[in-house]
Amino acid sequence: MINVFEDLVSNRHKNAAEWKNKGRKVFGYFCTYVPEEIIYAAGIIPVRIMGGSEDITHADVHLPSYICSFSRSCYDLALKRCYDYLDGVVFPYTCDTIVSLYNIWKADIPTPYVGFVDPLCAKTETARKYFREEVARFKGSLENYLGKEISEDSLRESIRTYNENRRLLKKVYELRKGPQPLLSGVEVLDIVRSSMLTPKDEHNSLLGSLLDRISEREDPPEPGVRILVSGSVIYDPEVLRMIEDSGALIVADDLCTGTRYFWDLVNTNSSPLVGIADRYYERIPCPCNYPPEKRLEHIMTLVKDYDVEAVIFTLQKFCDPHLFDMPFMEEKLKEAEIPSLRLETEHVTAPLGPLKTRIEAFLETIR
Amino acid sequence: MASKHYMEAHEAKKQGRPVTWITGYDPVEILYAMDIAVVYPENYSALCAVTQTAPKFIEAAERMGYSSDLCSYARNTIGTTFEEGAPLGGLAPPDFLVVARKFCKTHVKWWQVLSRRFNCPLFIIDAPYVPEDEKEYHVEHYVSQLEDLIAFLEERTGRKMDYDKLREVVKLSDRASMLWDEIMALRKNSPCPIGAADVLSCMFAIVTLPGTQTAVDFYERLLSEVKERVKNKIGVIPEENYRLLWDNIVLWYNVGLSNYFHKYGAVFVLEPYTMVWSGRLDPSNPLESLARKYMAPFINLKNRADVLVELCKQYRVDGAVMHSNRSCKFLSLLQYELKDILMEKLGIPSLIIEADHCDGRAYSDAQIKMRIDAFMEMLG
Repeated sequence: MINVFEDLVSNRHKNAAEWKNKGRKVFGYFCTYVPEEIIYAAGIIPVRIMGGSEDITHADVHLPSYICSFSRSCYDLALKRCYDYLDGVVFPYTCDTIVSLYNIWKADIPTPYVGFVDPLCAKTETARKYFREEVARFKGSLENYLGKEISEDSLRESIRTYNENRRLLKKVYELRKGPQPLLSGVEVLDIVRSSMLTPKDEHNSLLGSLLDRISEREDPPEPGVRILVSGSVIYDPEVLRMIEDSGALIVADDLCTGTRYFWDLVNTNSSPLVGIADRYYERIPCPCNYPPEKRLEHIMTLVKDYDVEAVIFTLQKFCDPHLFDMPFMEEKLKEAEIPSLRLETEHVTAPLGPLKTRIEAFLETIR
Repeated sequence: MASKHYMEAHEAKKQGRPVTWITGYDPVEILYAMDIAVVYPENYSALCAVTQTAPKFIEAAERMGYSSDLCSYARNTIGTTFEEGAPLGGLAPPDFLVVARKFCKTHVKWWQVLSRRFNCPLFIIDAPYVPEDEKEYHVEHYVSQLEDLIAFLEERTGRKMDYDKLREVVKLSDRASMLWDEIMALRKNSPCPIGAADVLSCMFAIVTLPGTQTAVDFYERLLSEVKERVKNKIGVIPEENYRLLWDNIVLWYNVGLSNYFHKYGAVFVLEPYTMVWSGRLDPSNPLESLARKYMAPFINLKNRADVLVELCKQYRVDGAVMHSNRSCKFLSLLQYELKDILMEKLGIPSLIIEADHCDGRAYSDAQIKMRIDAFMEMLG
C-alpha cells in the first residue's frame, strides 16, 4: 500500500520511458515555481527533475564545486543521458544556480523545448501583473511548440485534478497529527515526491486507495520525538531516515519536496490562467525570492497543529537562499522556545557519521 | 575619492539628508536626482578587502550564523554593522534600502537581512531576467518598477521628483559612460596604455557616481592622460608579448596579482567586469533608457558569449584568465561554457582559477602562481 509510492520514485526513468512508448510527451521541470497545471492541460506529463544517489562523475567538468549537490547531480544525470526521454524542460528563475543551469542545459543538453518562467521577488501589484503575463506567455510558447491550442476547459480540468491532489496530500498529512502517526517522514517524502513524478490523475487514485486502507495498517511507525524538517529539495531520503532511526519521528515539514509543493490550492473563482498565476504568486514562499517571515509563520502553524517538539533544518551546502534566512529562523525559534538543529548535507556519498552523532546529541537534549 | 564619498554620507546623515544603500547595477541616477546620499556596500567590502580589514568582519558575521559559503561581500558588510572598528567609521546607517533583483538573488537576500538589521523599509526593483533577447515587455516592466521606485522615494523623503533634474543627471551619467567607453577602447592599442590594476583603481566613479559632475571631470582628465600615453606609445609594460582577458571580479585582497603576469610580457587589456558599468542614456527619455541600461540583457549565456567573442577579437586577446569566484555564482557558473566557446570560436585558451573576491583567508598565493606559470608557459 505504501511501497507503491517508493517504487514510483525509484522507477521514475523507466516509467517515463514507458509513457513515451505509449505516445505521451514528458516534460521535466525544476523547482516548484513552474505552473505545472498548464503543462498537464496540454496533455504532457510533467515530472520534476531530481538528483540521484549515484556518484557525480560527469558534471564537475562543467560546474564548479561550490554549488549545491542537487544541481550538480541533476546535471550529471542529464549528461549521463538519464533524461534523454524528455521532450521539454522548464526552468524558473528561483536562484542563481538554477538560472545558470538553465543557460547551461540549453547549450549542452539537446532538448526539443526549453522553457523559462520568471517569478519575481516583490509582493507588489506590478509583480503580480507581470507574473500573470509571464504565465500567459508560457502557455503561448507551449502552444507554439505543440502547434495546438490549450483550451480553457482543459485548463479547468487540470486545475481540478491538481487541486484534488493537493487536498488528498493534505489528508495524508492529517494522518501524522495524533500521538500515533500512521506514516513516517521517509514514507511521506516518497508520497510527495511520487506526486511530482506521476500523472496527477493516477496519483490521485493511489492516494485515494491509501487513504481508504491506511487505518488498517498493522505496522505504523514507532512514535518518537516529534520533528518538523525544513529545507529545500530532499532528493535522497538518507538524512530523514537517519533522523527517524535515532528515536525521532518526522511529523511535518517545510520542504519543497513537502508542504511547499502542494499546500496552496488554485482559486477556481478566477479565470484559469489568473487563478494559476496567483496561486504561485501567493503560495508559501521559497526563500529564493522572498523574506522568511511568511515561511516562519507557516512553520509556526505546523508546529502547533502537529505537536512538533523540535525543528531540524536539512540544508544543502552552498544553498544561499536558505543560508541567508538561517540566523533569523534560528533566532525566532529560540524566542519561541522551540529547539532547532542546522544540518548541512552534501551529495549522498559524503560521510554521514558526523551528522548522525549531531542528530543523536540533539535528540538527547529534547527527551 | 572613495573615502570622501563615504565620509559625505556620514555628513549627510548628520544633516538629516536621507541615506540609502544600493548594489552595483542599480539605477543610482534616480537617487542622485532626488538628492539622496547613496553608498554601495559591495564597493565598501572591496575597500575592506584592499585594506586587509575584511577578515575580522567576515568572521563576525559567521559567528552570528551566516554561513562561510555565503557571498563574502555580504558577510563583510553584515559584520561591519555589528563589529566595532570598520574602516571610515563604517557605512552611514540607511534610512531605507533599495535593491534591484536582476541576475543576482544574493543581492535580494542580503538586502532582506539589512532591512531587518536596520528595521527600515526595503524597495525591491523587481527587474526581469532576460533569458534570450531583450523584449519590449521586459523594458515596460522595468519602467513601471522605476515609477514605483520614484513613488516610494517621494513618500519616504516627502519630496517630489524633479524631472528636469533627472534629465540633467542622466545627461551627466551618459557623458561619464561615453568617456569610460572611450578610455576602455584605447586599450585596443598596442602597447596597451592602461592595465588592470589602474583600471580597477579608476572604476569607482563609473560604478558609484554616474550622474555626477565629479565622475565626468575625473574621466575627462583620465581620458586625456591615456590618450597622451597612446600618442607617445607608452604601454603598461615595455614589451608586450601577450594580451590577456580577465573574467569576473578581481581578488580585492590581492589587486597586484595582475602585475605578476608582467614578467611574461603579458598584460590585461580587457576585463568585462570593468567594462559593463557604462551604459548610454537618452536624457529625453530618462526612465526607458535607465531600464535598458540596468536590465543587463548581456548576462545570459548567449549574449555574454557573443559579447565576449566580439571583444576578444577587437582587443586581440591571446589568452583568458577566469576567476571562478566562490562568492559570485551568476558570474562564475557559466565560465566553463565560456572557456569552451573561446577555444572553439577563436582558439583562445583559458585558465580557470578558483578563489574569492573579498575573503582571502583560504587564498594560497603560491598555488595560484604555480598555475599561472604553467598556463603562461603553455601560451608560450
